[in-house]
Amino acid sequence: MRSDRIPWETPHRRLSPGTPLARGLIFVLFGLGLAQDELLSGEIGLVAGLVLGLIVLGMAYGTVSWWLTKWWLTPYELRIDTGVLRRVSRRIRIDRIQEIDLVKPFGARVLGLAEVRLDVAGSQDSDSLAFLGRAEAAELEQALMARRRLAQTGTPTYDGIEVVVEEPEGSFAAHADALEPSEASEPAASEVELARVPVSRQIAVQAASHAALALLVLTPAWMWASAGQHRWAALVLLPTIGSLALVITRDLAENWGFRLTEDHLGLHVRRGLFNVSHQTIATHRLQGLKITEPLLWRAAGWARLDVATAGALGVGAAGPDASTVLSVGDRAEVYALASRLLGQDVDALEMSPAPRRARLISPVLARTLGFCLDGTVVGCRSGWWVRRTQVVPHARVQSVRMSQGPAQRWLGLATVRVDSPEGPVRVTARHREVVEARALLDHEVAVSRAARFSAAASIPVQAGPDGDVTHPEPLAG
Amino acid sequence: MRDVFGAPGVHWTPVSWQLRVMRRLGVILLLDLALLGWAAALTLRPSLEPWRTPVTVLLLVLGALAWWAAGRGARAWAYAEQEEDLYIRRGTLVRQVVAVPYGRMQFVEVTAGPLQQAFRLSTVRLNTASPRSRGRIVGVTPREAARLRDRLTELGQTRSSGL
Repeated sequence: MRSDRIPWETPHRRLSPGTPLARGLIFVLFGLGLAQDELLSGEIGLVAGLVLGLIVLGMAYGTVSWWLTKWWLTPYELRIDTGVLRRVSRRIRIDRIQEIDLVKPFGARVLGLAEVRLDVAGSQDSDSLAFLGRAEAAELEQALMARRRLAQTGTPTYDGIEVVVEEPEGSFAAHADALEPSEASEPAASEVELARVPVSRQIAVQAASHAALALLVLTPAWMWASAGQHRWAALVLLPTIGSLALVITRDLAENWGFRLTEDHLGLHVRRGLFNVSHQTIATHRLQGLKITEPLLWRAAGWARLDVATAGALGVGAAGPDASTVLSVGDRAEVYALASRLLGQDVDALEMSPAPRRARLISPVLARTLGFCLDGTVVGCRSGWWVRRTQVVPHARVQSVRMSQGPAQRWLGLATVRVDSPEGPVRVTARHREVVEARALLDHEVAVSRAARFSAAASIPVQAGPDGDVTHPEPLAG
Repeated sequence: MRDVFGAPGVHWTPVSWQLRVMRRLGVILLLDLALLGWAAALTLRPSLEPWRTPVTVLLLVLGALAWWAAGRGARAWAYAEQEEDLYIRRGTLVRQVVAVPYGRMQFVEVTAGPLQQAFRLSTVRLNTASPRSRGRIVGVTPREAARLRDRLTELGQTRSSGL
């Protein structure tokens, strides 16, 4: 039990002094990698001089920027002043903060720092404090959460309210709020386990990833280059290899011990080796889903499942992909899970192919294109190297588009796109017969309208294949 | 083929003719700049003299093409207010049509840059929960834009189903 207090009215605070280094660590490593030859031989030549100069300049700028960045926490507001040349003072109303994330990019993680990222209602980009010490960041996160709760429920008095951060002792179930990050690691008793990814499989997946394949090609190339007369090539390759290895280990660490459970709140995803993360996916806000099957995975019979939910994504945020429901699973398992989430058998969807002449535009892709529009969902499948199956319920469709480029017009083809909210799912009927495309557009507009209205009247969307929801005739491909 | 991109039996409202004027003036401005640049190059480098006529003709032909394309492009913008959806059509080289349900509109924006203001034009933007919806009508008169905004906002409120 620990009691921390951030006083209401405080003099300004600063970010962690490690900030400039944390921001530039990748570049510093990269630069040192480039200059290693000259540095190791002890004489500082052109490359090393340039690299060191840039590093010193960057660090100097970073230090000035760090010195000029100040922040204050008051009962209602978080104020952040930044900027070297152009000063920006931002005031963030705490009750308007929608999401608070603790993010640890590589450089910061190495130095034991963290970034506090805030999603504010009505603001396009997210505000952030980068970087704070790990403890301070966690403390600020807790304080913001507590104050937000106060601001939303009642008015806090001005003369000081102590923010008590209680660290959980042993029993995680004692905490009521399932979204608190502190109790991430263990599922509560009420949750049912749906899937678990064995570590061996996770390792196999990383070994088959694009980064690993690139590594497989680049490493011998590097060895060959550094042994022969191509030293400059070796110098360029080394940082690339290093960063690829980093990507692989990061992905592996992020998805380590992947576990999927379910309770009344929705799905819970827990994973991570050093940082156990816990995500709650509200399944009633499901906007669509995506099944990914790369070529090598198809050979092994594996697949991956991502979902789109409304407003749950930290777009562009570092850290594990918030949309993943199952990072890797047996194909049947993944399809069964997808079908259950959607209330519709995804594997049974009949994908109609694109016409043969579409191969004139994209020879490989056109062979793999498939599109399907049935009673409750609209879906598509495409890709040979990475096959993606994406499905969206009609009731979740936002708008429908059709477009036709010059080559398509010449061949009498058109593309229909179904727009859904920000997320990984994009249903597209690429290169369809133009008349069929128009019919698809009209059909989707009508069907999604009907589905929307019946959903608004709280009739389940999966009313029936030919109920009041759908058009009578199915569309032939 | 053309009617595939229109909705069946729908009256399409074209955008203001001023858009065409604005685009064409832009083309003339660019053409003038190009011709001026070419004239300057000719005076500075007499060795370019044999290229004088072909390049001038080429520039003029390109200008004429751009003039034609600007007119067509501006005329391609149209919208249709239907019972439950707003249809927007645009583009000549890449043709597009989008259907945005009124119930999905989150907010409607009317904007006008300085150039647009000079030609008494506005842009109406419909925002849904999807950033890819691209509900945008370019080149409507401010009056029509205000009418559209009010009408769409009203329709959006009565038919709202959000996400």
